[in-house]
Amino acid sequence: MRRRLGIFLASLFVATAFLSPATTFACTLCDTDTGRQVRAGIFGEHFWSTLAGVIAPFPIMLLAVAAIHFAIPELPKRTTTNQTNPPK
Amino acid sequence: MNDTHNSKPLVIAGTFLGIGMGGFVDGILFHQILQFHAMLSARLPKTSIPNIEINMFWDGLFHALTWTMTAIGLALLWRAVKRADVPLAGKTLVGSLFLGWGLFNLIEGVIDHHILNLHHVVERLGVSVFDYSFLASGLIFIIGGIVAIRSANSETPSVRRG
Repeated sequence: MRRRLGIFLASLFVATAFLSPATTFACTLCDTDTGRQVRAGIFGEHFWSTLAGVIAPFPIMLLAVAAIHFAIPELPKRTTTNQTNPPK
Repeated sequence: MNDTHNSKPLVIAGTFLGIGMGGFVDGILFHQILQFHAMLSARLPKTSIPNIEINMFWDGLFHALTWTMTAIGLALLWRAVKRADVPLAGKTLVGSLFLGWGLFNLIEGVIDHHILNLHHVVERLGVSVFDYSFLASGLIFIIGGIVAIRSANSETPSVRRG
């Protein structure tokens, strides 16, 4: 019974998605005027420069983390437990 | 018994996690909940559905990168906690998270807000006091994070388990 209800709800969701007015199909891959405008806007002449701009901060952050990694000196070993007292 | 005191793996893991989570704070709070800006909102104002959708695409890519940073941080944290020589000090982890968050705010702020002008914190104001506050928050988080890490290093005993 629960499985049937799940199938029904999933079918209803899919049907609703595909029967909705075209204006709701503004997704990146939708075959609508809006979808085509979106794709043209994303994959136009500025795609690679925009991609480089959006990605740009992250390599700098990786460099910063690498700098932290190499800048932190190894902390000296400490003798912590089982220390033997020097002979008196 | 000699033991090493090596907090570096925890610091690096926490810094990656801080960068990722700082990115999510920006993306979730400023892009989605408050909708102050989007990834390209200085170039493509969110005044039409195509522009909103295009911004959403680039927001998604930005979130994918912050997710990647978080995943790297999680993997490094997993490796760090399995090492016997890494003290699991909460102060070190929290300091590292703030260090990473600060790095994110500072680097993303300088590059995206000021150099490339992709967007600004409050887009309708353009470059404003909020952009400089964003940078200042980055500096404060970095300094606070470093202070916390150094403080933890001076306090943490070198043996944590075993």
